Amino acid sequence: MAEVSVRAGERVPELHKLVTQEVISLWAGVSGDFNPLHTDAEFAAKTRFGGTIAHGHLALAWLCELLLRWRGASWLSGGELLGVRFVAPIRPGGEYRVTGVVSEVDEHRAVISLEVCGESGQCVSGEAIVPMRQTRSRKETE
Amino acid sequence: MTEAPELTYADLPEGRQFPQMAYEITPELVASYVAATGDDNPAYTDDAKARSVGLTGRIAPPGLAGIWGRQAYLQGRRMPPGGILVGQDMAFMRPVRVGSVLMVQAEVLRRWERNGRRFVTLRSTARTADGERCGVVRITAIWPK
Repeated sequence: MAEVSVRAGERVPELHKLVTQEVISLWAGVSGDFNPLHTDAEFAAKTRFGGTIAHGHLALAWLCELLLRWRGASWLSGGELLGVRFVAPIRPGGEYRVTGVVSEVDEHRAVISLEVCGESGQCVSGEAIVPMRQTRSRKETE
Repeated sequence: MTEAPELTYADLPEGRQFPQMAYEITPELVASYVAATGDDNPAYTDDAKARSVGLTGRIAPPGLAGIWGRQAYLQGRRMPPGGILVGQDMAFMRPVRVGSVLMVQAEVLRRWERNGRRFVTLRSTARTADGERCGVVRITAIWPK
């Protein structure tokens, strides 16, 4: 099965995520991570964050969603997330954009620059490797 | 409810391998994941739609890797308060079917101190029932004590 080719500079269709305390609590339930920094407003208010924040892994799940929607399940056969950094907290009450831009591409793989950004700027950065096996141009596949 | 004991820096010597952990991808787990993330990709929940895109059936959301990757080293313990996740990598080798039971094993790759902070890098590797690797997660965290 041939894949549609990608080009450097191409933007991955972005996601928009509204984060509420309910979303954070639901993730706590799925992950089993009930650290009070995420779930207890009174506790979190006394920390340096000044309130609850989302789990970093919730943002990782968004990055996975972005790439799976864009490339399909082929991303799960050799795809990678690399160097994901948690730059700033993701807080309840905010809307976040999950974006990707193709920064490099060759016949074997594409490198995607990833970000999660809120109103006050970047919260998460990283890269994805997308395998480009079987990639052919449209002309070659006709 | 008794709080889980902490997993401390002293518990994490380089090379330590944790016992293998079973992680079952149940439909209920997937439904909870979809509710939390808003990721309603039908490939997770609808066999017919999954087959229509070349899969053999429903697949596990890849974002679950962050969860099994973490549980594989905590195993009933908890990170001490003040721990900070500073970096993470994930690699996927093959899709995983809903209903699968993954066998996940974590190990301590490296630990070091810098500027008074303690850092730990752990790697968790998941295998399907046939023993084939399906995912690898690597995390680096500041370990507070």
